[in-house]
Amino acid sequence: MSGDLERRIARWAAVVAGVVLCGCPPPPRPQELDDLRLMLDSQVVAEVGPRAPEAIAAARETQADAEGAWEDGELELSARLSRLAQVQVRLGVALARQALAHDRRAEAERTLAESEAAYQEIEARRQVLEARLSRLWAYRRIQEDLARERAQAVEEEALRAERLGAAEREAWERNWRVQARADAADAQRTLQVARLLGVERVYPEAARMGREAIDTALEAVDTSPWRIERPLVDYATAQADELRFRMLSLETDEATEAMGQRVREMVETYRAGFDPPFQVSFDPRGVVLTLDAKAAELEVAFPEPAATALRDLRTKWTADPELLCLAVVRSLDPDCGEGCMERTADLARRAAAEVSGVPIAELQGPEAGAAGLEAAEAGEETPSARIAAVGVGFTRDEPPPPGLSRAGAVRIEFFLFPRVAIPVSATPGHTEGVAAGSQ
Amino acid sequence: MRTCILALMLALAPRGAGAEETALPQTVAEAQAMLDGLAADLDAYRNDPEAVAAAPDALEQAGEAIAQARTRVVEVGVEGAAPELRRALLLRDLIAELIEARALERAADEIAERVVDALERLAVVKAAYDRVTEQLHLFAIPMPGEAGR
Repeated sequence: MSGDLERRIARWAAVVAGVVLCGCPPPPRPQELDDLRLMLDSQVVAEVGPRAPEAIAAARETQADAEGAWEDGELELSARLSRLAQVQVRLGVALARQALAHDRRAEAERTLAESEAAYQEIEARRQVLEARLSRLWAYRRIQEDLARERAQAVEEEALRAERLGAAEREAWERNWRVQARADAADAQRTLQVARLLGVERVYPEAARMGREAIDTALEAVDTSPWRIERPLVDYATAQADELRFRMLSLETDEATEAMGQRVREMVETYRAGFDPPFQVSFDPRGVVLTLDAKAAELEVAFPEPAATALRDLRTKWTADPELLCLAVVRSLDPDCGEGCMERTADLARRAAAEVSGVPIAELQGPEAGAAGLEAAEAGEETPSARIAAVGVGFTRDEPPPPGLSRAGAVRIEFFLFPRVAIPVSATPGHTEGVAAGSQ
Repeated sequence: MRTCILALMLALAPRGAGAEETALPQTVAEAQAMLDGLAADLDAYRNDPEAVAAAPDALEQAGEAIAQARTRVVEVGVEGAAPELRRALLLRDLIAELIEARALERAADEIAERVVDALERLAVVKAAYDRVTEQLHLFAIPMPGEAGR
């Protein structure tokens, strides 16, 4: 490099010396040489240079030769070399265009592939959701017909009640409220079943509305004027039923029937091992193991043979991670009085803890700690995410259980039912990252 | 002397990336044959609409360069005509590279247009997906007797 510089300086010195000695001006630079310099100094060449380094380097070498020829006074050669270098520059630019186009194409193909993959994925999920929505609409149409018929029957019943005498009317209203309370409690059970099935994860907004509807109905059955509570209870029942249906129909039309069939099979199994001391029966929501007992007794310890049966049930439940359990306790004592709801809830938690081995503090339910519920919402596979407890207080006057007085009597029901598979596509927000990466 | 050295340097110098090295002819006859070949290539390019569209200036300059090289070869021989011969060869290569560049750019443009279409389709399906998601998740369960309203 220094040698090259020295040669240039020497050449310039010779030119200057010649000019001084001869008294004549330096030869004019060929236009082609100036044009070449402009080309090589241009922004275009600066930008494409890295993509065609060899071609541009070759052009610069030829430019140096052309400059040298001019400095030697060989103007024609300088111009000829400059024209050659100009073609070399253009060749470099053409090669750079190719490289740029190649890169652009590769980038576009990558984006296209990502975009098409995202399209396929979202479209597949959209079709799943469309099918799910279609099932939901079909369900709603049926429910709507039933609700209309029921509303009409209720209205007719209410009109009939208005024609009753005062004493009869009072009894009738009391029964009306008892029925409403029982229905609201049943809706609460269904809601808990839906929650155990994972409705909070899949339909969080609908689940929130369902909880609110249940709370409103439960409050209304005790505080609202007569007949006002009925639509609220019906609404809560519809919400809870639909939430459960939503979970069962995540993937197929026949899931509700399939669940019913599985529960029927479970009933046969459980009858063989647990009836007695439980009374094993079928409920569309799950096989029901019912046990009547005294609350005061339960607060100390479960009596035999129930205690042994509960241990067996715990073994069975623990061994089957697909099995969900809802423990429900309601009072059979009309004089259960104030705080009945809390007492039955406490007993429900005790029963759930007994059957699952999960500490009471980790159990989920409307009044229990949030730990178990959070585990269920997070889709955890912990035992606490598989069991819930709910106490419904005193709902209706019933004949006393055989061999048991009503005072302090409670009915414990264990609803056992299999979980449903929740596909990834069922959880909200699962596509947010899909399209973002390709746009 | 300097001209001879430069001609030699140009003959030996590596060409631009992507272009294959073509040795310069050693004799006048070889040079004329080479120029005949270049002229034939040029004629073919002139009849090729892709070439005319991609490299109109280069086609014109290549014709002039071949003519200059022919004259120079006759006047001063092969060595003295090295820059012109080299330039004629390079212009032929340039035409080929410009055609290639244009084809690659058009291909990239076509893919880019498909990308635009694909992104539009993606936006449409995403909007449809969001709509059904919203319907599925957010719409309220009607109060009994109110669903048809």
